[in-house]
Amino acid sequence: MNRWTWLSLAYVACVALGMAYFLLDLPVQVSDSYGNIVEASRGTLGSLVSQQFHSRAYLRPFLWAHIRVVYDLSGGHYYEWFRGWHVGQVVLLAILFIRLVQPRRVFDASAIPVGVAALIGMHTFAGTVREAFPINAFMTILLCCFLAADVALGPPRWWRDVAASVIFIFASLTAESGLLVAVVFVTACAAGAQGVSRRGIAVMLAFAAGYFLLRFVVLDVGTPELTERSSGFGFSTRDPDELAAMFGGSALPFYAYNVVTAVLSVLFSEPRAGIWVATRGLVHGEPSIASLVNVVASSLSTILIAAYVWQRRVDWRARRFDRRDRVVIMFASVLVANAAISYAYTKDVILSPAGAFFAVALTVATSHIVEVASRATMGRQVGVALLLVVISSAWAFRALGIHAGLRTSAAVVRNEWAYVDEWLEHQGLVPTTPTAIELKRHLRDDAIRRHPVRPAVRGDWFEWFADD
Amino acid sequence: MTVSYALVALPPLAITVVLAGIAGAELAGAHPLTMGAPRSVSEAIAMRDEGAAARFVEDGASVTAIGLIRRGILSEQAVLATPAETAVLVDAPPALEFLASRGVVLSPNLACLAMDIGARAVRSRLGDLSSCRAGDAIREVLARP
Repeated sequence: MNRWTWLSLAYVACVALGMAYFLLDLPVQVSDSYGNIVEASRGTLGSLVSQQFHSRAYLRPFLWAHIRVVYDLSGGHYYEWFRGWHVGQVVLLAILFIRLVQPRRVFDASAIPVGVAALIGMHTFAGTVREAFPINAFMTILLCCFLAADVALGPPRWWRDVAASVIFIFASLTAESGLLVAVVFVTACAAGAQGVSRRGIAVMLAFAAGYFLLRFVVLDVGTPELTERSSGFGFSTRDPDELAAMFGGSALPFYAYNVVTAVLSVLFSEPRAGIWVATRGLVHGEPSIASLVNVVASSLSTILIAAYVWQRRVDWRARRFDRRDRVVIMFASVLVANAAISYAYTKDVILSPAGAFFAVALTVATSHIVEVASRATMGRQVGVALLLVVISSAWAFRALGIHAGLRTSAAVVRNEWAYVDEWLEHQGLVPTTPTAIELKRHLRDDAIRRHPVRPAVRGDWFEWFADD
Repeated sequence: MTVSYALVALPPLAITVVLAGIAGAELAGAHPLTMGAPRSVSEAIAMRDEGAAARFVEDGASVTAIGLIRRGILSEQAVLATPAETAVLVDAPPALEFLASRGVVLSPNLACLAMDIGARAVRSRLGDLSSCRAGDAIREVLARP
């Protein structure tokens, strides 16, 4: 740790605090949260977890345990604890980000603001903060992936072997995308990282095999029905009937479309969840500012990362990888694996691990390019500086957009609470037990009395941040 | 080259400062770039702050009283409207349902108002009336002193 590391930490602390302020504006949601808390509060923690091992389609016992633990700790202060823990997760993510990129020189520190803006401004990140269930499983997986990378890139220690298996088990039983933790560990090992020994990797992979055995053979949990969901294709969202009509008897072309568009979405911010939002805007003659900025930011950043890989090609061919190379390689493998698990349908937030590693890779690439340019001719220095300023400005815009989005979500969630009785009745979820009725009253009071919405920002410019 | 380091970092740093400024101002009680908090049921509905509207009603505010909607919220001039009229003006059926559940009578005049301003969602809830004279309902609202 030197002054550049401390400076970088101080900066991410400011960014995390800023996000925390906007995040604390969000009350606990009605949809996907109120019902989950009611469900998680029943019985004992042990019975809740045991019950989840026998559910259908999803195997997420630790997500439910996570909800229950925070619920029990809250002692009735639900908003403070659930939202407070969400803020805590953002802070942890920011710290892990700095640990991964390890800024130790001025070149590194100058890249940190760009990287952090990419981390929080990426469209794949929005779903990790704009909603919760009431624990955001995607944010938890993001933390597990970053933690896995941090453990794998450290010096060899016996406890890192143990940590690898523990993180994998926790992540894979929190959400299906937790399987990406295994990809992080294996890639790091293949790229020469020594934090986790080969024996530690083997044990973790044995647990991975055990996961599949448990899920598909022992418990027969299965996977969600692929025909249940609508999915983005072309310029719009298609319902299951439309998709069936389009792809006939074979779903393979549709799966291939989802995997390819997931990769493109991370690299170029287009398409989004399978829908070509920016292209549609251009074709219809009314592209949104945000969608164009997104494409510019991501495309130029992808070029920057590609330039880094190109410049490191000689060492890479000789299998000489340093720490920075390893995080870029991790990004590539997480991107491919993340896209692959999105085969059934694409959604921005499912790609959040790939998006977060994209930000790490961008930070490394930016730092490298600045360093290389510092030894170049004046003309080249100016050219590189201009390119980086365009990238930096575009990501700054997107980072501002996520805060604007949080403000919008805060208003939407409160409006749901205003009409919660009508909504619950419409959904056939009218609470009947005294606990559920009291919980509803408490959460509604949190949303519209104790923490009322802040006045809405006025001005057409606020619409610039809407990207669909 | 020092300058270019700063340039690369400058845009996100500037955004962080702006956000810190907004947060600081709000914590100090100011609400930059906003109209401030709504002051009546009508104004809360007009600002789409339905939580505040529900809070006003539950705290005893009348669901039928005409309220002032400050200029710049619905139009360039201030508007005087009942909560139900405001729900029609912003085409918000949930707000209308909420008011109806609190005893507001959904009069035929509201359907006429919805037709006048083309409030599609509310029209599908209230239906169209053949007895409406085009423009009368909206003129009545805007003519209030």
